[in-house]
Amino acid sequence: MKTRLVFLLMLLALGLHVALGEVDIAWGELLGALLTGGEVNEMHATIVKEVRMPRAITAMTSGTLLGWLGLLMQTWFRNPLAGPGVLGITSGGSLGVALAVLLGWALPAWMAAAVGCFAVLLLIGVGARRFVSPVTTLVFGLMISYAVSAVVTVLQSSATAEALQTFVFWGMGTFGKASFLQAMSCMTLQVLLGMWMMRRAQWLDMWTLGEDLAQTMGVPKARLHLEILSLTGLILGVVTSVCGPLAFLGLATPHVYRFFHPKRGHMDAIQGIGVWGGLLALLADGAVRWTDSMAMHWPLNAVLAILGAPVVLAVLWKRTHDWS
Amino acid sequence: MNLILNNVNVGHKHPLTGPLTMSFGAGGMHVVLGANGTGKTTLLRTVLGVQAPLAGHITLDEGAGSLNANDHRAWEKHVAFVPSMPPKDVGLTVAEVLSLSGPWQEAVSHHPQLGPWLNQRLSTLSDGQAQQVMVARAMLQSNHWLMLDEPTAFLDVRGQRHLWGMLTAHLNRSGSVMMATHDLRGVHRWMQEAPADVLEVSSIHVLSSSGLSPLASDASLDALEVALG
Repeated sequence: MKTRLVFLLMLLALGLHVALGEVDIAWGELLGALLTGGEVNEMHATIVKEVRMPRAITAMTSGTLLGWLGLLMQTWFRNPLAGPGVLGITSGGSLGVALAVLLGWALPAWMAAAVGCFAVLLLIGVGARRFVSPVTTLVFGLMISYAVSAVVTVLQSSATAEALQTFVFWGMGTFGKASFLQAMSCMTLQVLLGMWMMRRAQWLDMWTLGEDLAQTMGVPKARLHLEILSLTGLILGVVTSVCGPLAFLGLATPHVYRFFHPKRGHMDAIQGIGVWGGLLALLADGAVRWTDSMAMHWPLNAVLAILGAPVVLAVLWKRTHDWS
Repeated sequence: MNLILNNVNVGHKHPLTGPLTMSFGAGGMHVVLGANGTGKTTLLRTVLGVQAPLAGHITLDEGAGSLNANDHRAWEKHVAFVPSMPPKDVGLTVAEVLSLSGPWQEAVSHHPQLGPWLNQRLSTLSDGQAQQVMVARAMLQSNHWLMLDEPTAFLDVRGQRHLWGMLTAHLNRSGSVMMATHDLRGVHRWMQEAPADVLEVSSIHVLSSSGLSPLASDASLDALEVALG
Protein backbone atom coordinates (compact mmCIF):
# COMPACT_ATOMS: atom_id res chain seq x y z
CA MET A 1 0.00 0.00 0.00
CA LYS A 2 1.22 3.48 -0.76
CA THR A 3 2.12 5.65 2.21
CA ARG A 4 0.50 8.58 0.37
CA LEU A 5 -2.87 6.79 0.37
CA VAL A 6 -2.63 6.20 4.13
CA PHE A 7 -1.73 9.86 4.54
CA LEU A 8 -4.87 10.88 2.65
CA LEU A 9 -6.95 8.51 4.79
CA MET A 10 -5.43 10.10 7.89
CA LEU A 11 -6.32 13.58 6.66
CA LEU A 12 -9.85 12.36 5.91
CA ALA A 13 -10.14 10.90 9.42
CA LEU A 14 -8.83 14.17 10.84
CA GLY A 15 -11.40 16.16 8.85
CA LEU A 16 -14.28 13.92 9.90
CA HIS A 17 -13.10 14.01 13.50
CA VAL A 18 -13.33 17.79 13.54
CA ALA A 19 -16.45 18.04 11.36
CA LEU A 20 -18.67 15.49 13.09
CA GLY A 21 -19.97 15.53 16.63
CA GLU A 22 -22.96 15.92 18.85
CA VAL A 23 -23.37 19.55 17.93
CA ASP A 24 -24.03 20.16 14.24
CA ILE A 25 -21.66 22.90 13.27
CA ALA A 26 -22.98 25.20 10.57
CA TRP A 27 -19.72 24.89 8.60
CA GLY A 28 -20.73 27.01 5.62
CA GLU A 29 -21.82 29.80 7.88
CA LEU A 30 -18.75 29.50 10.16
CA LEU A 31 -16.17 29.44 7.36
CA GLY A 32 -17.99 32.19 5.50
CA ALA A 33 -17.97 34.37 8.59
CA LEU A 34 -14.25 33.70 9.14
CA LEU A 35 -13.43 34.58 5.52
CA THR A 36 -15.60 37.67 5.22
CA GLY A 37 -15.06 38.88 8.77
CA GLY A 38 -18.77 38.67 9.47
CA GLU A 39 -20.62 37.65 12.63
CA VAL A 40 -19.12 34.38 13.96
CA ASN A 41 -21.30 31.86 15.80
CA GLU A 42 -19.32 32.02 19.05
CA MET A 43 -20.47 28.66 20.38
CA HIS A 44 -19.60 26.82 17.19
CA ALA A 45 -16.24 28.54 16.92
CA THR A 46 -15.43 27.67 20.52
CA ILE A 47 -16.41 24.01 20.06
CA VAL A 48 -14.17 23.72 17.01
CA LYS A 49 -11.24 25.62 18.42
CA GLU A 50 -11.20 24.44 22.02
CA VAL A 51 -12.79 21.02 21.94
CA ARG A 52 -12.58 19.28 18.60
CA MET A 53 -9.33 20.62 17.17
CA PRO A 54 -7.20 19.93 20.28
CA ARG A 55 -8.73 16.47 20.59
CA ALA A 56 -8.19 15.57 16.93
CA ILE A 57 -4.66 16.98 16.83
CA THR A 58 -3.72 15.29 20.10
CA ALA A 59 -5.06 11.96 18.84
CA MET A 60 -3.22 12.23 15.54
CA THR A 61 0.11 13.38 16.94
CA SER A 62 0.05 10.98 19.90
CA GLY A 63 -0.63 8.10 17.53
CA THR A 64 2.29 9.14 15.36
CA LEU A 65 4.59 9.65 18.34
CA LEU A 66 3.71 6.31 19.94
CA GLY A 67 4.10 4.49 16.62
CA TRP A 68 7.56 5.98 16.21
CA LEU A 69 8.55 5.15 19.78
CA GLY A 70 7.35 1.59 19.19
CA LEU A 71 9.55 1.36 16.10
CA LEU A 72 12.45 2.84 18.03
CA MET A 73 12.09 0.35 20.90
CA GLN A 74 11.69 -2.59 18.51
CA THR A 75 14.83 -1.56 16.65
CA TRP A 76 16.81 -0.76 19.78
CA PHE A 77 16.02 -4.04 21.51
CA ARG A 78 15.91 -5.91 18.20
CA ASN A 79 12.66 -7.44 19.38
CA PRO A 80 9.33 -7.26 17.51
CA LEU A 81 7.35 -7.35 20.74
CA ALA A 82 9.08 -4.41 22.35
CA GLY A 83 7.12 -1.23 22.82
CA PRO A 84 6.88 1.64 25.27
CA GLY A 85 4.11 -0.12 27.20
CA VAL A 86 5.58 -3.61 27.32
CA LEU A 87 8.87 -2.36 28.69
CA GLY A 88 7.20 -0.84 31.73
CA ILE A 89 8.00 2.71 30.73
CA THR A 90 4.36 3.74 30.78
CA SER A 91 3.97 2.09 34.20
CA GLY A 92 6.74 4.37 35.36
CA GLY A 93 4.53 7.27 34.26
CA SER A 94 1.65 5.72 36.19
CA LEU A 95 3.80 5.52 39.29
CA GLY A 96 4.74 9.17 38.92
CA VAL A 97 1.11 10.24 38.52
CA ALA A 98 0.03 7.91 41.33
CA LEU A 99 2.56 9.51 43.66
CA ALA A 100 1.47 12.99 42.62
CA VAL A 101 -2.31 12.43 42.63
CA LEU A 102 -2.75 9.85 45.40
CA LEU A 103 -0.23 11.28 47.83
CA GLY A 104 -1.15 14.81 46.87
CA TRP A 105 2.38 15.89 45.97
CA ALA A 106 2.63 19.37 44.60
CA LEU A 107 3.91 18.23 41.23
CA PRO A 108 2.03 18.78 37.95
CA ALA A 109 0.80 15.46 36.53
CA TRP A 110 2.77 15.83 33.30
CA MET A 111 5.99 16.37 35.19
CA ALA A 112 5.28 13.45 37.51
CA ALA A 113 4.56 11.23 34.50
CA ALA A 114 7.70 12.40 32.69
CA VAL A 115 9.90 11.80 35.73
CA GLY A 116 8.38 8.35 36.24
CA CYS A 117 8.84 7.37 32.58
CA PHE A 118 12.39 8.63 32.54
CA ALA A 119 13.32 6.79 35.74
CA VAL A 120 12.12 3.45 34.40
CA LEU A 121 13.72 4.04 31.03
CA LEU A 122 17.03 4.72 32.75
CA LEU A 123 16.71 1.48 34.72
CA ILE A 124 16.03 -0.42 31.50
CA GLY A 125 18.97 1.28 29.83
CA VAL A 126 21.27 0.12 32.62
CA GLY A 127 19.73 -3.35 32.48
CA ALA A 128 20.01 -3.58 28.70
CA ARG A 129 23.75 -3.05 28.92
CA ARG A 130 24.01 -5.74 31.58
CA PHE A 131 21.70 -8.32 30.03
CA VAL A 132 22.76 -9.07 26.49
CA SER A 133 19.62 -10.95 25.53
CA PRO A 134 16.60 -8.86 24.50
CA VAL A 135 14.32 -11.40 26.19
CA THR A 136 16.02 -10.72 29.52
CA THR A 137 15.51 -7.01 28.95
CA LEU A 138 11.83 -7.53 28.22
CA VAL A 139 11.40 -9.62 31.37
CA PHE A 140 13.27 -6.88 33.25
CA GLY A 141 10.77 -4.31 31.95
CA LEU A 142 7.88 -6.61 32.78
CA MET A 143 9.13 -7.02 36.35
CA ILE A 144 9.32 -3.25 36.68
CA SER A 145 5.68 -3.06 35.57
CA TYR A 146 4.70 -5.58 38.23
CA ALA A 147 6.65 -3.78 40.93
CA VAL A 148 5.13 -0.45 39.89
CA SER A 149 1.60 -1.92 39.88
CA ALA A 150 2.22 -3.25 43.36
CA VAL A 151 3.31 0.15 44.64
CA VAL A 152 0.35 1.81 42.91
CA THR A 153 -2.02 -0.70 44.53
CA VAL A 154 -0.55 0.04 47.95
CA LEU A 155 -0.93 3.77 47.33
CA GLN A 156 -4.53 3.27 46.19
CA SER A 157 -5.47 1.44 49.37
CA SER A 158 -4.85 4.51 51.47
CA ALA A 159 -5.95 7.21 49.02
CA THR A 160 -9.07 9.33 49.28
CA ALA A 161 -12.01 8.30 47.10
CA GLU A 162 -11.74 11.50 45.13
CA ALA A 163 -8.03 11.08 44.37
CA LEU A 164 -8.64 7.43 43.54
CA GLN A 165 -11.31 8.32 41.02
CA THR A 166 -9.05 10.90 39.38
CA PHE A 167 -6.30 8.32 39.08
CA VAL A 168 -8.55 5.56 37.72
CA PHE A 169 -10.04 7.84 35.07
CA TRP A 170 -6.54 8.98 34.12
CA GLY A 171 -5.59 5.31 33.67
CA MET A 172 -8.38 4.74 31.13
CA GLY A 173 -6.76 7.12 28.71
CA THR A 174 -8.40 9.83 26.63
CA PHE A 175 -7.53 12.35 23.96
CA GLY A 176 -10.46 14.51 25.08
CA LYS A 177 -8.84 16.32 27.99
CA ALA A 178 -6.10 17.98 25.98
CA SER A 179 -5.99 21.75 25.87
CA PHE A 180 -5.06 23.64 22.74
CA LEU A 181 -1.63 24.27 24.25
CA GLN A 182 -1.09 20.59 25.03
CA ALA A 183 -2.11 19.64 21.50
CA MET A 184 0.46 22.10 20.20
CA SER A 185 3.16 20.65 22.49
CA CYS A 186 2.43 17.17 21.12
CA MET A 187 2.72 18.60 17.61
CA THR A 188 6.05 20.23 18.44
CA LEU A 189 7.34 16.94 19.83
CA GLN A 190 6.16 15.21 16.68
CA VAL A 191 8.29 17.54 14.58
CA LEU A 192 11.23 17.04 16.95
CA LEU A 193 11.05 13.24 17.03
CA GLY A 194 10.34 13.04 13.29
CA MET A 195 13.39 15.10 12.45
CA TRP A 196 15.56 13.15 14.87
CA MET A 197 14.43 9.80 13.48
CA MET A 198 15.03 10.83 9.87
CA ARG A 199 18.45 12.08 10.84
CA ARG A 200 19.25 8.83 12.63
CA ALA A 201 17.55 6.52 10.10
CA GLN A 202 20.87 5.16 8.86
CA TRP A 203 22.18 4.50 12.36
CA LEU A 204 18.96 2.67 13.15
CA ASP A 205 19.27 0.59 9.97
CA MET A 206 22.82 -0.29 10.99
CA TRP A 207 21.67 -1.12 14.50
CA THR A 208 19.39 -3.87 13.11
CA LEU A 209 22.54 -5.68 11.90
CA GLY A 210 23.79 -6.13 15.45
CA GLU A 211 25.31 -4.07 18.20
CA ASP A 212 29.00 -4.81 17.55
CA LEU A 213 28.70 -4.61 13.79
CA ALA A 214 26.81 -1.31 13.97
CA GLN A 215 29.57 0.16 16.12
CA THR A 216 32.26 -0.87 13.65
CA MET A 217 30.15 0.79 10.93
CA GLY A 218 30.29 4.10 12.76
CA VAL A 219 27.32 4.14 15.14
CA PRO A 220 28.38 5.74 18.45
CA LYS A 221 26.53 3.44 20.82
CA ALA A 222 26.70 5.55 23.97
CA ARG A 223 25.42 8.63 22.16
CA LEU A 224 22.60 6.75 20.44
CA HIS A 225 21.53 5.22 23.76
CA LEU A 226 21.55 8.63 25.41
CA GLU A 227 19.48 10.19 22.62
CA ILE A 228 16.99 7.33 22.60
CA LEU A 229 16.63 7.35 26.37
CA SER A 230 16.14 11.09 26.68
CA LEU A 231 13.76 11.44 23.71
CA THR A 232 11.66 8.43 24.70
CA GLY A 233 11.49 9.57 28.31
CA LEU A 234 10.51 13.11 27.39
CA ILE A 235 7.94 12.22 24.75
CA LEU A 236 6.37 9.31 26.56
CA GLY A 237 6.21 11.46 29.66
CA VAL A 238 4.35 14.24 27.84
CA VAL A 239 2.01 11.92 25.91
CA THR A 240 1.27 9.87 29.03
CA SER A 241 0.54 12.97 31.05
CA VAL A 242 -1.78 14.46 28.40
CA CYS A 243 -3.59 11.26 27.33
CA GLY A 244 -2.98 8.77 30.15
CA PRO A 245 -1.09 5.50 29.78
CA LEU A 246 -2.01 4.44 26.24
CA ALA A 247 -1.84 0.74 25.47
CA PHE A 248 -0.92 -1.03 22.24
CA LEU A 249 -0.51 1.96 19.88
CA GLY A 250 3.28 1.92 20.14
CA LEU A 251 3.56 -1.83 19.91
CA ALA A 252 0.97 -2.51 17.22
CA THR A 253 1.40 0.38 14.76
CA PRO A 254 4.81 -0.76 13.39
CA HIS A 255 3.31 -4.20 12.74
CA VAL A 256 0.33 -2.73 10.91
CA TYR A 257 2.84 -0.87 8.74
CA ARG A 258 4.86 -4.05 8.14
CA PHE A 259 1.70 -5.92 7.19
CA PHE A 260 0.77 -3.45 4.45
CA HIS A 261 4.17 -2.20 3.29
CA PRO A 262 7.22 -4.15 2.07
CA LYS A 263 9.94 -1.58 2.82
CA ARG A 264 11.91 -2.16 6.03
CA GLY A 265 14.47 0.64 5.84
CA HIS A 266 13.92 3.16 8.62
CA MET A 267 13.52 6.11 6.23
CA ASP A 268 10.41 4.46 4.72
CA ALA A 269 9.21 2.95 8.00
CA ILE A 270 9.31 6.33 9.79
CA GLN A 271 7.02 7.89 7.18
CA GLY A 272 4.68 4.91 6.97
CA ILE A 273 4.43 4.34 10.72
CA GLY A 274 3.94 8.06 11.26
CA VAL A 275 0.80 8.20 9.13
CA TRP A 276 -0.50 4.80 10.28
CA GLY A 277 -0.10 5.85 13.92
CA GLY A 278 -2.07 9.05 13.30
CA LEU A 279 -4.78 7.18 11.37
CA LEU A 280 -5.17 4.37 13.94
CA ALA A 281 -5.36 6.79 16.87
CA LEU A 282 -7.99 8.89 15.07
CA LEU A 283 -10.01 5.76 14.26
CA ALA A 284 -9.79 4.55 17.87
CA ASP A 285 -10.86 7.95 19.15
CA GLY A 286 -13.63 7.99 16.54
CA ALA A 287 -14.88 4.74 18.06
CA VAL A 288 -14.67 6.24 21.55
CA ARG A 289 -16.68 9.28 20.49
CA TRP A 290 -19.22 7.06 18.74
CA THR A 291 -19.75 5.03 21.94
CA ASP A 292 -20.03 8.35 23.79
CA SER A 293 -22.80 9.41 21.44
CA MET A 294 -24.57 6.09 22.16
CA ALA A 295 -24.13 6.79 25.89
CA MET A 296 -21.91 3.69 26.28
CA HIS A 297 -18.66 5.57 27.07
CA TRP A 298 -15.98 3.01 26.23
CA PRO A 299 -12.59 4.06 27.58
CA LEU A 300 -9.89 4.73 24.98
CA ASN A 301 -7.63 2.01 26.38
CA ALA A 302 -10.40 -0.57 26.03
CA VAL A 303 -10.84 0.35 22.36
CA LEU A 304 -7.06 0.29 21.79
CA ALA A 305 -6.77 -3.14 23.43
CA ILE A 306 -9.65 -4.52 21.35
CA LEU A 307 -7.96 -3.22 18.20
CA GLY A 308 -4.36 -3.90 19.27
CA ALA A 309 -4.42 -7.29 20.95
CA PRO A 310 -5.36 -9.19 17.76
CA VAL A 311 -2.47 -7.46 15.96
CA VAL A 312 0.02 -8.65 18.59
CA LEU A 313 -1.47 -12.15 18.54
CA ALA A 314 -1.18 -12.20 14.76
CA VAL A 315 2.51 -11.28 15.05
CA LEU A 316 3.14 -14.13 17.49
CA TRP A 317 1.10 -16.51 15.36
CA LYS A 318 2.85 -15.73 12.13
CA ARG A 319 6.31 -14.94 13.50
CA THR A 320 7.87 -13.80 10.26
CA HIS A 321 11.60 -13.40 9.94
CA ASP A 322 11.55 -9.99 8.40
CA TRP A 323 9.91 -7.90 11.08
CA SER A 324 12.78 -5.49 11.50
CA MET B 1 48.75 0.25 6.28
CA ASN B 2 50.31 -2.11 8.79
CA LEU B 3 48.29 -2.89 11.89
CA ILE B 4 50.43 -2.40 14.95
CA LEU B 5 49.79 -3.61 18.48
CA ASN B 6 52.00 -1.96 21.07
CA ASN B 7 51.97 -3.58 24.52
CA VAL B 8 48.26 -4.30 24.20
CA ASN B 9 46.33 -6.09 26.93
CA VAL B 10 42.82 -7.19 26.04
CA GLY B 11 40.06 -8.43 28.31
CA HIS B 12 37.21 -7.35 30.55
CA LYS B 13 38.77 -5.96 33.73
CA HIS B 14 41.42 -8.72 33.79
CA PRO B 15 43.83 -9.20 30.88
CA LEU B 16 43.24 -12.43 28.96
CA THR B 17 46.73 -12.49 27.51
CA GLY B 18 50.15 -11.10 28.24
CA PRO B 19 50.99 -7.78 26.57
CA LEU B 20 50.86 -8.16 22.76
CA THR B 21 53.38 -6.33 20.63
CA MET B 22 53.09 -7.15 16.98
CA SER B 23 52.97 -5.73 13.50
CA PHE B 24 50.55 -7.27 11.02
CA GLY B 25 51.73 -6.53 7.51
CA ALA B 26 49.43 -4.78 5.03
CA GLY B 27 48.36 -6.96 2.11
CA GLY B 28 48.57 -10.16 4.11
CA MET B 29 46.25 -12.75 5.58
CA HIS B 30 46.70 -12.94 9.32
CA VAL B 31 45.16 -15.94 11.01
CA VAL B 32 44.69 -16.10 14.76
CA LEU B 33 44.12 -19.63 16.02
CA GLY B 34 43.25 -20.43 19.59
CA ALA B 35 41.16 -22.69 21.74
CA ASN B 36 37.74 -21.46 22.87
CA GLY B 37 38.02 -18.90 25.64
CA THR B 38 41.54 -17.73 24.84
CA GLY B 39 40.22 -14.32 23.86
CA LYS B 40 40.16 -14.36 20.06
CA THR B 41 36.86 -12.52 19.90
CA THR B 42 37.95 -10.07 22.60
CA LEU B 43 41.14 -9.38 20.65
CA LEU B 44 39.13 -8.75 17.47
CA ARG B 45 36.64 -6.50 19.26
CA THR B 46 39.54 -4.53 20.70
CA VAL B 47 41.27 -4.19 17.36
CA LEU B 48 37.93 -3.07 15.89
CA GLY B 49 37.68 -0.31 18.48
CA VAL B 50 34.41 -1.67 19.93
CA GLN B 51 36.16 -2.39 23.20
CA ALA B 52 39.02 -0.36 24.63
CA PRO B 53 42.30 -2.16 25.36
CA LEU B 54 43.15 -2.51 29.05
CA ALA B 55 46.57 -1.17 28.21
CA GLY B 56 48.67 -0.23 25.19
CA HIS B 57 47.92 1.24 21.77
CA ILE B 58 46.51 -0.10 18.54
CA THR B 59 47.44 1.90 15.46
CA LEU B 60 47.51 1.78 11.69
CA ASP B 61 50.63 3.34 10.22
CA GLU B 62 49.75 5.59 7.34
CA GLY B 63 52.67 7.15 5.51
CA ALA B 64 54.05 9.74 7.86
CA GLY B 65 51.31 9.63 10.52
CA SER B 66 49.38 6.94 12.24
CA LEU B 67 45.76 6.28 13.15
CA ASN B 68 44.63 5.17 16.59
CA ALA B 69 41.84 2.65 17.14
CA ASN B 70 40.10 5.01 19.55
CA ASP B 71 39.61 7.51 16.70
CA HIS B 72 36.38 5.80 15.63
CA ARG B 73 35.52 8.08 12.73
CA ALA B 74 38.78 7.46 10.91
CA TRP B 75 39.14 3.85 12.05
CA GLU B 76 35.84 2.72 10.51
CA LYS B 77 37.01 3.76 7.04
CA HIS B 78 39.99 1.41 7.20
CA VAL B 79 38.83 -1.45 9.40
CA ALA B 80 35.61 -3.37 8.72
CA PHE B 81 34.07 -6.29 10.55
CA VAL B 82 32.38 -9.56 9.58
CA PRO B 83 30.79 -11.31 12.57
CA SER B 84 30.70 -15.06 12.95
CA MET B 85 26.97 -15.38 12.47
CA PRO B 86 25.19 -13.28 9.84
CA PRO B 87 22.55 -11.14 11.63
CA LYS B 88 19.10 -12.71 11.99
CA ASP B 89 15.68 -11.21 11.37
CA VAL B 90 16.96 -8.38 9.20
CA GLY B 91 14.16 -7.14 6.97
CA LEU B 92 16.43 -4.91 4.88
CA THR B 93 17.09 -6.13 1.36
CA VAL B 94 20.58 -7.12 0.25
CA ALA B 95 20.84 -3.88 -1.75
CA GLU B 96 19.81 -1.85 1.30
CA VAL B 97 22.35 -3.61 3.54
CA LEU B 98 25.13 -3.01 1.02
CA SER B 99 24.07 0.63 0.57
CA LEU B 100 24.75 1.29 4.25
CA SER B 101 28.46 1.05 3.42
CA GLY B 102 28.74 2.18 -0.18
CA PRO B 103 27.23 1.89 -3.66
CA TRP B 104 25.79 -1.64 -4.04
CA GLN B 105 26.65 -1.59 -7.75
CA GLU B 106 30.32 -1.70 -6.82
CA ALA B 107 29.79 -4.76 -4.64
CA VAL B 108 27.91 -6.55 -7.42
CA SER B 109 30.62 -5.77 -9.95
CA HIS B 110 33.16 -7.43 -7.66
CA HIS B 111 30.89 -10.27 -6.57
CA PRO B 112 28.44 -11.07 -9.39
CA GLN B 113 26.89 -13.89 -7.33
CA LEU B 114 25.14 -11.21 -5.21
CA GLY B 115 23.20 -9.91 -8.24
CA PRO B 116 20.15 -12.19 -8.05
CA TRP B 117 19.67 -11.55 -4.30
CA LEU B 118 19.65 -7.75 -4.41
CA ASN B 119 15.92 -7.34 -3.81
CA GLN B 120 15.61 -10.18 -1.33
CA ARG B 121 15.52 -9.54 2.38
CA LEU B 122 18.71 -10.57 4.16
CA SER B 123 16.59 -12.77 6.45
CA THR B 124 15.44 -14.91 3.50
CA LEU B 125 18.99 -15.89 2.45
CA SER B 126 20.79 -18.98 3.69
CA ASP B 127 23.60 -18.48 6.19
CA GLY B 128 26.13 -19.02 3.44
CA GLN B 129 24.54 -16.43 1.14
CA ALA B 130 24.06 -13.94 3.97
CA GLN B 131 27.70 -14.30 5.02
CA GLN B 132 28.81 -13.46 1.47
CA VAL B 133 26.66 -10.32 1.64
CA MET B 134 28.27 -9.40 4.96
CA VAL B 135 31.77 -9.84 3.53
CA ALA B 136 30.86 -7.80 0.45
CA ARG B 137 29.49 -5.08 2.72
CA ALA B 138 32.66 -5.01 4.80
CA MET B 139 34.71 -4.70 1.62
CA LEU B 140 32.60 -1.69 0.58
CA GLN B 141 33.34 -0.09 3.94
CA SER B 142 37.10 -0.63 3.88
CA ASN B 143 39.63 -1.31 1.12
CA HIS B 144 42.21 -2.00 3.78
CA TRP B 145 41.48 -4.24 6.72
CA LEU B 146 38.79 -6.87 7.09
CA MET B 147 38.37 -8.41 10.53
CA LEU B 148 36.57 -11.72 10.57
CA ASP B 149 35.47 -13.66 13.63
CA GLU B 150 35.14 -17.37 12.79
CA PRO B 151 33.52 -16.50 9.47
CA THR B 152 33.22 -20.09 8.29
CA ALA B 153 31.76 -21.50 11.51
CA PHE B 154 28.21 -21.69 10.20
CA LEU B 155 28.98 -22.37 6.54
CA ASP B 156 28.83 -25.59 4.55
CA VAL B 157 31.68 -26.58 2.25
CA ARG B 158 30.36 -24.54 -0.65
CA GLY B 159 29.83 -21.47 1.52
CA GLN B 160 33.37 -21.81 2.88
CA ARG B 161 34.76 -21.96 -0.66
CA HIS B 162 32.88 -18.81 -1.65
CA LEU B 163 34.15 -17.01 1.45
CA TRP B 164 37.80 -17.92 0.89
CA GLY B 165 37.41 -16.88 -2.75
CA MET B 166 36.12 -13.44 -1.70
CA LEU B 167 38.96 -13.01 0.79
CA THR B 168 41.51 -13.95 -1.86
CA ALA B 169 39.99 -11.34 -4.17
CA HIS B 170 40.30 -8.76 -1.37
CA LEU B 171 43.98 -9.64 -0.88
CA ASN B 172 44.58 -9.45 -4.63
CA ARG B 173 43.30 -5.87 -4.53
CA SER B 174 45.97 -5.22 -1.84
CA GLY B 175 43.51 -5.46 1.03
CA SER B 176 44.48 -7.05 4.33
CA VAL B 177 42.65 -9.67 6.36
CA MET B 178 42.73 -10.64 10.01
CA MET B 179 40.76 -13.71 10.94
CA ALA B 180 40.07 -15.64 14.12
CA THR B 181 39.17 -19.16 13.12
CA HIS B 182 39.10 -22.89 13.81
CA ASP B 183 38.94 -23.65 10.11
CA LEU B 184 42.35 -25.33 9.84
CA ARG B 185 41.60 -27.02 6.54
CA GLY B 186 40.52 -23.75 4.98
CA VAL B 187 43.62 -21.97 6.27
CA HIS B 188 45.86 -24.78 5.07
CA ARG B 189 44.33 -24.92 1.60
CA TRP B 190 44.53 -21.15 1.27
CA MET B 191 48.23 -21.19 2.24
CA GLN B 192 48.99 -23.73 -0.44
CA GLU B 193 47.27 -21.73 -3.16
CA ALA B 194 48.19 -18.18 -2.11
CA PRO B 195 50.65 -16.22 -4.27
CA ALA B 196 54.14 -15.92 -2.80
CA ASP B 197 54.06 -12.14 -2.33
CA VAL B 198 50.84 -12.31 -0.31
CA LEU B 199 52.15 -15.26 1.69
CA GLU B 200 55.28 -13.34 2.50
CA VAL B 201 53.40 -10.72 4.53
CA SER B 202 50.88 -13.21 5.93
CA SER B 203 51.05 -14.85 9.34
CA ILE B 204 49.54 -17.54 11.51
CA HIS B 205 49.52 -17.09 15.25
CA VAL B 206 48.24 -19.15 18.13
CA LEU B 207 46.65 -17.06 20.86
CA SER B 208 47.10 -18.24 24.43
CA SER B 209 47.39 -16.63 27.84
CA SER B 210 51.10 -16.07 27.22
CA GLY B 211 50.45 -14.11 24.03
CA LEU B 212 50.59 -14.69 20.28
CA SER B 213 53.07 -17.35 19.16
CA PRO B 214 53.86 -17.49 15.45
CA LEU B 215 53.64 -20.58 13.25
CA ALA B 216 55.48 -21.03 9.98
CA SER B 217 53.19 -20.01 7.13
CA ASP B 218 54.02 -23.29 5.37
CA ALA B 219 53.03 -25.36 8.41
CA SER B 220 51.47 -28.72 7.69
CA LEU B 221 47.88 -29.47 8.61
CA ASP B 222 49.17 -31.77 11.37
CA ALA B 223 51.33 -28.99 12.77
CA LEU B 224 48.29 -26.65 12.79
CA GLU B 225 46.22 -29.24 14.62
CA VAL B 226 48.92 -29.80 17.19
CA ALA B 227 49.37 -26.07 17.70
CA LEU B 228 45.65 -25.59 18.30
CA GLY B 229 45.81 -28.43 20.84
